Amino acid sequence: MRETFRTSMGDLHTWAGVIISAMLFAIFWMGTLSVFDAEIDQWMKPETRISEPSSFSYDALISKSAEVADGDVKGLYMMAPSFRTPVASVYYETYNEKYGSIYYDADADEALDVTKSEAGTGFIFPFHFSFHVRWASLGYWAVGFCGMAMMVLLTSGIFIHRKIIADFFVFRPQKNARRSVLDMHNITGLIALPFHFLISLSGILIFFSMYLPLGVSVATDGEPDAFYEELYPEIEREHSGTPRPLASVDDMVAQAETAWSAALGTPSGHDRVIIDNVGDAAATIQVVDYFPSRRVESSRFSMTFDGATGAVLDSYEAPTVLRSMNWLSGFHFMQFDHWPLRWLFFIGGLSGCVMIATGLMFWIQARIKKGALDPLKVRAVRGMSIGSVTGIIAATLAFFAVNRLLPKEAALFGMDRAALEMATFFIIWVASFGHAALRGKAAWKDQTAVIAALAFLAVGLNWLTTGDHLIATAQHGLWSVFGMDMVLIFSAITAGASVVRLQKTEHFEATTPSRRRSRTAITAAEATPAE
Amino acid sequence: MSFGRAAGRSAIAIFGGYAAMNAFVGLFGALLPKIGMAQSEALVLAAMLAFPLYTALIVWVFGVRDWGRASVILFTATAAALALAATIN
Repeated sequence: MRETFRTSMGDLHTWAGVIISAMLFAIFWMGTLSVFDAEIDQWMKPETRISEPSSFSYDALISKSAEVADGDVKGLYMMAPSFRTPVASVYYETYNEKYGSIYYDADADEALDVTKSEAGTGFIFPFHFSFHVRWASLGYWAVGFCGMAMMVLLTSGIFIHRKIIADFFVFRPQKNARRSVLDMHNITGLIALPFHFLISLSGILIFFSMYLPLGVSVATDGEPDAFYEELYPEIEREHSGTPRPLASVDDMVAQAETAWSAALGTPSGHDRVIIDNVGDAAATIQVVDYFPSRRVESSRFSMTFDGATGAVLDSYEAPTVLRSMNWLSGFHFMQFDHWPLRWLFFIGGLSGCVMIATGLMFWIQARIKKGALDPLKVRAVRGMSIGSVTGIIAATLAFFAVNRLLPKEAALFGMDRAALEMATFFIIWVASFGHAALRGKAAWKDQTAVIAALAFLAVGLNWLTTGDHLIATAQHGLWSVFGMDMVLIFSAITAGASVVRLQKTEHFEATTPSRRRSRTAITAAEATPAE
Repeated sequence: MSFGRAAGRSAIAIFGGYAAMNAFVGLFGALLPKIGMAQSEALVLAAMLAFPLYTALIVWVFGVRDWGRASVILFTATAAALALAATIN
């Protein structure tokens, strides 16, 4: 029975892994980059590379928005400068239903003319949780499905180990390539196991109400509206038509922060302000702490003020169970101020990428070793693996490089600059699958070489177009750009070294079956299905 | 494992497990408010427990030898939870 259970877990792990890995890698890759999405934004929008403002006033920002907006402003969604983003930003809606956004330099009190790009927060981050497929929320469901698959893969992956402790410490890079790939898969999977579990679970939970409509409907006897209102309380007032100027929003923010800090006994800040019915007697100002810098837990407080009088209309604090949920989502969003942890999240995400990629590589090698039962199947999985691993990395780097290459006002075929960047990403990504299908296993090396070249190119282009080379950014304390350039250079060197190694030594997709079976290499045989 | 059997098992695990998870959330979210928990709190708690439960159900359906019996258990539990939730409401 025990053996049967283990072999069925092996089947589950192998086949669920092969089917889901391409999408899973994309999610992990984009999620890993999203840890530094604000830094990527600064790299891709050079006008936002300003120093942290010495002071910031919402009242000044509101009048600047009224000045810039095309029509009378009705709604404002304002994000204050943070330790990661020196630029304040505003989304506005006017009374004649026009929408726009403004980047604001607080010290200069001016709206910045910023390069059009979706960059990290607009492209990479939403890709991570929606694949940019909005239709019928299909992308969100696909990501949720992958998240569940990840939890199942981790669980089944644990069950197929016989020597789980030993696998922590076994890495044999010089042994045959198949063995070292499996060792790498086990090490990255096991060492970061708690991270992988928690990041998958918390990611799914962020969209729980979307994923569980039936359960919510059953629990509320078919009337879920009251539940959602209880979960996300919001004060909405009808536009009155009587013009009234706004009281000082800065005072309201200070009042909210004082109350929250007193409640917690430790400084507790806000991160954004949402205003409705600007300039009207029914104006409401909501001060929230979606992602406070000093706490993991997100969205604990919210305070709503009357716009004209500044009176408190509502003061909200999340209840206990919701706070534990908010801790999990705050953990996943990782917006709090802690650089060592930020880097650990980045490394944790990368280890997930390596785990997924080596899992795919091992599948291919195990098939080849068994005598390539079905060359077509191996070919198909290889093509998918190369495109979804090296292909998406190359496409991302092309996205960065083309951002620095296009002129500021570029437009082509009715696409603006931001759309052109994204089109470049998708064209390169699709092309990588085609290239992999045609070139076979040599595509691993080709695409790794492309990665090395594009990473160097991106750093060079950043220098050429902005003058911000490594020494300059280090001197000015522009650590976001410095860090991104350093990671790019490191990636280029690593990719370059991999190309050299792929050329010199035995290709990790060895065609000759190894004669000896290592005794510790149990999972190898057992992870493969008993066909 | 043949393709047909694998597909059958996957369908039971994915859809049967999903139905069972939703029934569990429905029951939990209906039951707890009756003993004094806020509706939103009960449902958030149910959701946090539901996804690990779903994971366990999937692994269980793939792990047992007799998955025909597993699917009967799964559907019975789902139906029972739904019936109970309806009675409570």
